[in-house]
Amino acid sequence: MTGNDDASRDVDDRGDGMDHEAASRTDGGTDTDADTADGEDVHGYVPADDPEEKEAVTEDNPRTDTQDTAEDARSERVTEERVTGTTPTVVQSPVVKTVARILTPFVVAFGVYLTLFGTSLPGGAFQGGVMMASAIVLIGLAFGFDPTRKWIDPRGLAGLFVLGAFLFGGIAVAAVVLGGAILELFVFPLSVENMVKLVEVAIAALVSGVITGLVIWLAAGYETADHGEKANKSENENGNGGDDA
Amino acid sequence: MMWLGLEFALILFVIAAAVFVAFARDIVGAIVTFAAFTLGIAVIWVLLAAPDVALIEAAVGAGVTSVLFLITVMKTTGMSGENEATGARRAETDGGNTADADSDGGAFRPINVPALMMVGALAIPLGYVVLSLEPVGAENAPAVVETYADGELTPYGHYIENTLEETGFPNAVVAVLVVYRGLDTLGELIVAFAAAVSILIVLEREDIL
Repeated sequence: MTGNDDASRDVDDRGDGMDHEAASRTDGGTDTDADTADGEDVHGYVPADDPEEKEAVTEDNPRTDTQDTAEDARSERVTEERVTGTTPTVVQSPVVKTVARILTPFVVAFGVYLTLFGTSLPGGAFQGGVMMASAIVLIGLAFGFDPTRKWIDPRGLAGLFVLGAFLFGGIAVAAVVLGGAILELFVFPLSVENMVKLVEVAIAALVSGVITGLVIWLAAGYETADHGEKANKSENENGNGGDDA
Repeated sequence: MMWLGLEFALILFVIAAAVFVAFARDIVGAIVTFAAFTLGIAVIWVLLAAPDVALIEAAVGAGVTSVLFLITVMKTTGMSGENEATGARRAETDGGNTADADSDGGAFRPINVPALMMVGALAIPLGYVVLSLEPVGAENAPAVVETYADGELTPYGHYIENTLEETGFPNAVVAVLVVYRGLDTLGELIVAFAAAVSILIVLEREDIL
């Protein structure tokens, strides 16, 4: 790639990748070459052999032009930032990814520990729930929020906090049914400590689901690709006009 | 004595971090410093023997809130990994932006005198209240077991004295949250639930519910 090409790309929009693709073909770049260079372009390193990551990278940045050297990729990234105003939302480095991979199970285990042993040790359901959610947030920071959102089943995430809310509410109502006051845990056949642990599990599910959803869905924002599909789908179901989509 | 020195060092660190957050021009740096500020507060909670609060402070304040701030910055002004690019883009956009018109270089913003006076008007009464409290661990501090004049236990004293025998577990914080004040916690969680549902509705993704 020459400086001339870079200058021409300055005025190009991100969307039209056709002539770049043609240029890459005349350069003799193969498909895999294009993928690798794309990864270099966005994140400054060649992605590992994880197919999901590579797919996510190409989804983040659907251009298919090739880059010859790292300096080319760098300079193009800067110029493109200035032109389009869009920046890579996460800086993905192998160090961060590896640390996140190693840390995540321990963070989740610590969250479960805080939830279940909050009755006798410092901790509790709020702390444990936030700790479990922060594991997902850590994954999102390390691997990017878009791949994380695609990895998490949104219905499962919503089901987590709906389940927590209904479990807590159900315990509150069941106490009335069993003849006590609302949320009176002494009327249940289980011991109070075990009932508290059950309530704590409900609270932790709700808190972790809410916080994970808060971060993941706010990071996704309003205009995303799959959001558009879903908006169209619900529009077809409801028959509403999609003037706001 | 060592703990006292650590506490003073932490307090100085927290105040310096807060001042930096208030005046830093680099917004991502301010967010990261805010996380460090919250982490310092969390360590102070541990030194004040409040590990439950410290856990929440570290996880929510330093973790989730910072990430939400970062997401906000990414979604609005954009975030770059390179300072040169940020500075160049900022210099370009500053031309028509009246909010940052006073950015004549430098890493810190100028002091806003009316805002400083408002903060002082708030901080002086708050400082007076804090100084009028009993020191931590003092005999007549309200957190320690305390009785009314007629010998009846106050609520604080009741929870600390009777949590173990009434509920069967020793953590009085969780006992208050779930057993003694369970309805309040239920209301709190309904608020959190409503927040999550509201976000889905605002983003028009309520079809996943």
